[in-house]
Amino acid sequence: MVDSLFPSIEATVDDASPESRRKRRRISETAKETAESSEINQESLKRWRTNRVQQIYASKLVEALRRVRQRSNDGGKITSAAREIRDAADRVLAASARGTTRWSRAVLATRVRASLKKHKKAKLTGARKPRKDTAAERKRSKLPAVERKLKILGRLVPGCRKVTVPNLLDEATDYIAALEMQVRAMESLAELLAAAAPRSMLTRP
Amino acid sequence: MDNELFMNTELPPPSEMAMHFEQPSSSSAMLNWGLMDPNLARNSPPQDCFMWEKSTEQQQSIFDSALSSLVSSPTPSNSNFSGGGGDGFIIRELIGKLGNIGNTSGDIYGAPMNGNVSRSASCYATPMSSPPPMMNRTAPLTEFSGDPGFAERAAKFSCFGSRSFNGRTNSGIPVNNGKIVNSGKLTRVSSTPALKALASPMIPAGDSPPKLPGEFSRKRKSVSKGKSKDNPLPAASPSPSFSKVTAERKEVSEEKGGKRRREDEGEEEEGNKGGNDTKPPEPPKDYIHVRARRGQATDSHSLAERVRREKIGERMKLLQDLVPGCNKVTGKALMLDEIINYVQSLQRQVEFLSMKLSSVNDTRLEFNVDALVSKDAMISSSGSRVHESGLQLESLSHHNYNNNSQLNTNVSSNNMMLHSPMKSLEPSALARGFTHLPTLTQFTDTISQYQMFSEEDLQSIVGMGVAHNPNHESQSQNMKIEL
Repeated sequence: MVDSLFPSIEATVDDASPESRRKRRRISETAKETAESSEINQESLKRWRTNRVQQIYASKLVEALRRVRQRSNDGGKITSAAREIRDAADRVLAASARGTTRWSRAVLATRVRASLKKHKKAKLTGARKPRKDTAAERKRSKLPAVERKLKILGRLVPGCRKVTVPNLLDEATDYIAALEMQVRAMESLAELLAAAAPRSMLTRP
Repeated sequence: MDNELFMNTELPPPSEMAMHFEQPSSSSAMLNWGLMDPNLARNSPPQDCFMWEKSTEQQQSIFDSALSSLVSSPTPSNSNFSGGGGDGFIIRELIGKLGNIGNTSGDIYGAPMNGNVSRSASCYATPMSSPPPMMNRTAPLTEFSGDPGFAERAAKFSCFGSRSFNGRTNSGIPVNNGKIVNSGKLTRVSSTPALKALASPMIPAGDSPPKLPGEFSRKRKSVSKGKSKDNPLPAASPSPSFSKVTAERKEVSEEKGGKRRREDEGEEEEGNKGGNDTKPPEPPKDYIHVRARRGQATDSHSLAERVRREKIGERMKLLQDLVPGCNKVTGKALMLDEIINYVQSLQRQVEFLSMKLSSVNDTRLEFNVDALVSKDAMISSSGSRVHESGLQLESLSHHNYNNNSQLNTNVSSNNMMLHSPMKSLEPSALARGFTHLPTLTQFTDTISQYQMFSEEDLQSIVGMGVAHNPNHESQSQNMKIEL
């Protein structure tokens, strides 16, 4: 029954809200994508849009949030832990990918490495060279603009710096689809919690 | 010294080729001969050099005569030398003589060659004339081509011969080398129809002559790639494209001023296709078969490039569908800009939402799952769950972790039995500290259980977010505006 909620809700929401627009496009896109020939991208796009994946992600996210909160509770510090939550969310997202994509493996790997090497050290040593002459450099290497942008994209997608161009585009596709799902799930979760909060606040003495 | 040799070359590509020929020089016999003084005993070196020839006595006599003429020529050529043309002519005539070897009758060129030691035009003409008559017998030229290293060795010989001439600039030598090779290929030499007629039987004759001009092509690095890509390509459509390429090749050989690279690549592709013709039933492997479209170049390089471009274009199209607002943008650079912006915005959204979630987490102590479960119960309107979870929600509001674990068990009594493994998970997870991977594996266990039991619940967790949209539209819109 709840299964039916999804398509019905998506169908009934007719507003111009970005989320509903996204969902409407999602339906049309999945229909469109089935007609497309490339299997990998199509499959990855559909993968991140299924209900099942969203459920898995939501549950995992909930668990991660709980653990984060407990950790902070036990530690006594009530730090913002936004980064922790974001890392947890990314990790959970990568776990949902089941290791089929490069960026997911990289995300999981960096988590392990960071926990072993004490986060901050790794960050400090792994910092990129500070580039002051960005304008001059841009002028110098202006010619392969597309290539530079591909490099930037490679830096954005985790674990895809030295990846060939078609693979990079594949990874970017999957990453974008996964990020979209992540954003949607986190939004709904935040909404729920925010909605639940006032009620609990009221009950509190 | 090599540079010296090629400094005055009029045709740079043959110089390239000559260099290529010189570099893989491995025949020591040639080297020895080149290094030796040409005035030394002429009998033994020619034997060493020309052992590869089918040597009859008649031929050896021709060799000797050729060699003697060659050796004796330096002195007159030194006097007559005019910018390095003399050496070339000598070499040419020698090559003509060598070409003679393949002939069953070797008398044709003996006399005229000897007389043309220092003639420029005639010497030039004679090798020209030599191939056409030879072509009437396709056998010798097939022998030419059949001998895989013939042209190479001849080139080496000529090169070393030029070296022995005190390093005179051999503008003729590269030309000659080109001619040597092209005696097999016959594209650059002239455009007589006889040559072209020879060209087509030359194709299946062997891959080595085609490969030699393949070395000319400037894009050497992609040669093998083009070949590897090209090998299965013709297998898919051998006959039509083959005929098309042969036609193209004939056109190429016709135009004298045609692009050299194109010729080479056409020849190279010819070689590839020729090789493929020898094994037609090659099964297509994991290559993508691309048919050369009408009006497009059928070079191996451009085919491979086209495949690559199409792959990239496909993926860009998919990305275009994924990223909003990319429909109007055309061009890879702008689209990549949009994609980068979108990825960055998504990542920023995730950060923002994580901040929000953290604030939401910190302000309240009751556990999300229970709240969600209660909401879920409300939404799914399964009555039995509502009251219990509602009660639990209120009772939860002040409880800390331990109580909530109890409530977890209570909740699990509904139908979420997975909470108990979750409860057992959490202390263990905490006790274990920051080992994430094991917890992830545990997650998978719980997830499997989730899948078994509470699909509805979890659906509704997200479904609530979805379902709440009609109710909390304004909130979501506000959220978007904030973002």
